Amino acid sequence: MITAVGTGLDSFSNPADITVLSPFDGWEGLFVAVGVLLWIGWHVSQIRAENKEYDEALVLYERVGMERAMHFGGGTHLVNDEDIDVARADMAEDKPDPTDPAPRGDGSHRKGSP
Amino acid sequence: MADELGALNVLFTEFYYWVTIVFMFLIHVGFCVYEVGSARRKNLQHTLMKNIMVIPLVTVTFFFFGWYIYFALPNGPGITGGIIPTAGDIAAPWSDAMGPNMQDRINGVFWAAFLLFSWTAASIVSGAVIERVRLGAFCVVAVLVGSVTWIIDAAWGWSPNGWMVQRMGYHDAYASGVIHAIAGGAALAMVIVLGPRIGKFGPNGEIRTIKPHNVWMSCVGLLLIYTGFWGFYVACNIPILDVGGESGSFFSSTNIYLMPTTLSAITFNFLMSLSGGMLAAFTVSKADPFWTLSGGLAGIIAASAGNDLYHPVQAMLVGAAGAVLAYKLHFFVERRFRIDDAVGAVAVHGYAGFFGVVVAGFMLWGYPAAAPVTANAAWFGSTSEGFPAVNPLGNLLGAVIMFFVLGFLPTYGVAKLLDRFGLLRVPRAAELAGLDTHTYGNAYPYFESSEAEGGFEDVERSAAAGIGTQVAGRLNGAEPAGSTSREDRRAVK
Repeated sequence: MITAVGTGLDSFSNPADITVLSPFDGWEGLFVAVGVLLWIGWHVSQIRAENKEYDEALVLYERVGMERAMHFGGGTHLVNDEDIDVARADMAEDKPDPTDPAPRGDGSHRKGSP
Repeated sequence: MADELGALNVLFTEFYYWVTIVFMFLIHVGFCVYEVGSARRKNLQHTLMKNIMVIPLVTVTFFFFGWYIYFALPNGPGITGGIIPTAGDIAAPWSDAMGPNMQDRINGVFWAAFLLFSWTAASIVSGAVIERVRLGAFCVVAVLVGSVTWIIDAAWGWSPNGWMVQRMGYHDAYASGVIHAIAGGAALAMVIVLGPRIGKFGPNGEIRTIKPHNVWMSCVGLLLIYTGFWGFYVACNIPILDVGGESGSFFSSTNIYLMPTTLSAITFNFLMSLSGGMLAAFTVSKADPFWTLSGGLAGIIAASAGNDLYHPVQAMLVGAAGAVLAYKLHFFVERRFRIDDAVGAVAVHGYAGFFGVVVAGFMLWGYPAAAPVTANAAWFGSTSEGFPAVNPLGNLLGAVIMFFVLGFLPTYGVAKLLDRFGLLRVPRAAELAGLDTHTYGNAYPYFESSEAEGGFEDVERSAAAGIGTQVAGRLNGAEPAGSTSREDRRAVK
C-alpha cells in the first residue's frame, strides 16, 4: 500500500479527537501576513488608480468642454473611445514638467489649448 | 457533542445565528438600493460601488483584527483591567478557533453576525457622503468605522463584561448607540470635512433641494433595511440560556448582556416602534415617502436600546418621538450649519440613536444591566443583588461616548488627514460632470434625462463656468465649500 502525501488530515475516524480541519495547519500566521499585505496594497493601489483616473477625467473634460460633459445630467454622450484615447495621448505627451508652476488644470501647458 | 440534547442545543444555536446572518445581508442590499435611488443618475455606479466595497474590505479587516478587538478590550484597557490575555485564543486571525475546527462550532457564525453589524455601521456613513467623496477615501473610513471604532464600543458597551456596562450600567440592547449613534457621529464628521455638494447652498445660504433620481427605489431600499433589521434583532439575542440562577434552571432567550428577554418581546417592540416612527414621520413630513420610511427606521433605532424590556406602546411612543426628532433636527442642522447630509443618515441613525440611549436610561432606571464581575462596583448605583443598575447618567454618558468620542472624533481626524493630501473629495469638474461620467458612462443608456431641462442642472451649469478659477472653490456661496481635491489645488496655484 502506498501512503499518499498529505497537507493535513488523513482520517475522520475519530472526530472527537480532531481539532483543525483546514490544510497546512501551523502556517496560519504566514497566511494572515500575506492577507494583511494584500489588504493594505489594495488601498494604496485604489488611491493611485483614482488619482490617475481623475487626472485623465480633467484632461478629457477640458478637451470636450464642461457643457458636453454635463449633457443630460452627465455622461450620456461623452464617453467614446476616441475622446478618451486622445485625452490619454495628451497626458502621455504632457509629462509633468518640474518647472511648470501650473502643471494641469488651467490648460495653458498643453499644445492647442485655447 | 457526546449526548443528543447537548448536540441539539449547540447545532440549533449555530443554525439560529446562521439564519440571522442571511437576513441581515438584506440590510446591506437595502442600503445599496436606497443610496443609489437617492443619488442623481450621473453618480449611480460610483455610489453603488462605494457601498459594495464595504463588504470585502470590512470582512477581511474584521477577520484580521476586528473580532480580536471585541474580545480583547472590554476592560478599556485601563478602566476595569488590562487587555484580556485569552482573547487571542478565540479571535486572533491565526488562532485555531478562527477556521474550521471540530471542537468549535460557533465562533464563525458569531463572527459573521458581528461582521454584518460592521457592514451596517460603515454603510450608514456611506449614504451621507454620496456624490462627492472619493471611493478610496471612503474605503479607509469604512474600515475605521466597521472594523475598529464600532467594535471598540461593542467591547465597552455591548458585552456583559464591558466596562461601560459594569461601571456605568449602560444598557443598549439592540444598538441605538452601539451601532447607530457611533455611525451617525462618524457620518457627521465626514460631511463636515467634505463640505456640501456643489450648489446645495446658494450664495445667500438658501437651501436647494437635490432630488433623488428615483424616490421609489429609495423607499424599497428602506423596506429591505427593515427586513434585515428584524434579522438583526434576532441576532442580538442568545436563543437558549439558563437564566434560573439560585432558583434552579430556567431556560430563556437573553439579550446580549445575558439578561432575560423573549423573542415575543422583541417582535412586539420592533413592529410597534417601526409603526410609531412611520406614523409620526408621515405626519410631520406631510406624507413624504422618503421621510415616512426613514421615520420608521428612526423609530426602531430610537426604541432599540430598550426594546428588550419596553411595553409595546412605550416602544411606539419612543419610536414616534425619535422620528420627529430626527426629521426636525435634520432640517434644523442643514439650515443652521449648512451641513449637507444627502440621505439624512446623521439624523436617522445619529440623533435618533443618541436619543434612544438617553431615553432607555430613564425608562429602565434600576433594572439589572448585567451580572456583576465585581459586586457593587458600579459608579452610578447597583441593584439590591449587587448588579450594576441601568440609570440615566450612565446612558447619557454612554451616548456621548458613542456619538462623539468613538463616532465623531476618530473619523474627523482621519477625514482631515485625507483632506490634507487632497484625497477626500473628487475634483469639482468631476463632481459636476458626474462620478460615473468618466469611469463608467451612463447608467441608463437607453433613456434620456429630464435633468437637462431647468432645475438643478442650471445651477450646476453656472458653477461649471467657474471651473479652473478661484470661483471653483466657492461654489456653495459665500461659505467655504469643504474639502478640495489635489487636482483642484494644483489648478488654482
